[in-house]
Amino acid sequence: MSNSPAVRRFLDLVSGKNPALKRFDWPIAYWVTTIVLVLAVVGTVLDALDINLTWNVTYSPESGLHGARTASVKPVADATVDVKTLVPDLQQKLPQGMTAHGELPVSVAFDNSTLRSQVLNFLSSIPMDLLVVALIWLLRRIVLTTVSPGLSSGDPFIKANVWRLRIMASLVLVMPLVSFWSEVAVWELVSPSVSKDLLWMSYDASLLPLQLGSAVVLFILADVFSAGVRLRDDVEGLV
Amino acid sequence: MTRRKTQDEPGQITFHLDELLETRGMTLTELADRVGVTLVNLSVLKNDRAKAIRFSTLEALCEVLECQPGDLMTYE
Repeated sequence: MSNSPAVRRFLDLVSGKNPALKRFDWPIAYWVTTIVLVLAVVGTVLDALDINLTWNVTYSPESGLHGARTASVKPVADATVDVKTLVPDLQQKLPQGMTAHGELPVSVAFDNSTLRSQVLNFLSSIPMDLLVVALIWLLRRIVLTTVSPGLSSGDPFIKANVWRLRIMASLVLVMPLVSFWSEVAVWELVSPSVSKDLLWMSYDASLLPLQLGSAVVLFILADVFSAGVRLRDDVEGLV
Repeated sequence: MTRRKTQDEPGQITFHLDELLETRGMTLTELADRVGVTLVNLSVLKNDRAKAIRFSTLEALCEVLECQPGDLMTYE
């Protein structure tokens, strides 16, 4: 059974010994990671220029599926308002047995002429964008060390990858703080335009366990790679 | 097992494969075949570039070359 050509081909494929796979997969890894990185950089540049591009898809039984693309260069910030404050008599309009609660996402236009608003506008989105770009860039470098015979030795167990993973873990760890600060910046940014009673400063903490868990996993992975580097050093030159 | 040191550091393990092969009229390729080590790895050993050696490799070398570990290497 283990001598069967099909099993051998499968084992070669899984262990990465298949030369056809080596030739085939590195351009895919290179281009996919490059495209993702370029999209993240473009998103950051658009944010910095206050160009908001949105693509909405709606569906209704009458009209079917519709897509709508909107673009805006007016400085707007995404905020949330309490639905009961926005529509005070909403509860009366609802049928009996239904209760209104929650918040509505709104885009609030603001005056971007002062230095304060420009700084707050920058802080509301760019730090998180840069964080994401940095994470994608680091991940791309790690992926390319594993697969590309034309670009690297194809060995992921190098000290550079250990540091990349540690930096990634640190970035993921500060992500909740950056996210919280973004919300504070938005709140400060739009508060002169809208009554503070209407606005909610909402921080979605649902991703917090995932972010902290990911940071821990990345730190552990960095230690695993560090052990791999030490083992590789030991094995090199062993006869 | 030995740890290789740089030329500047005092003390180094040196292998004498060249002398042993010459006295026994054997080539490096033939030794590699009989010991079961690749020619590349044996060249690493011969040129004192090895960082460590397995006991199994050492035993095989001693068996094929009919010598003691002390004949294979010296500490200088």
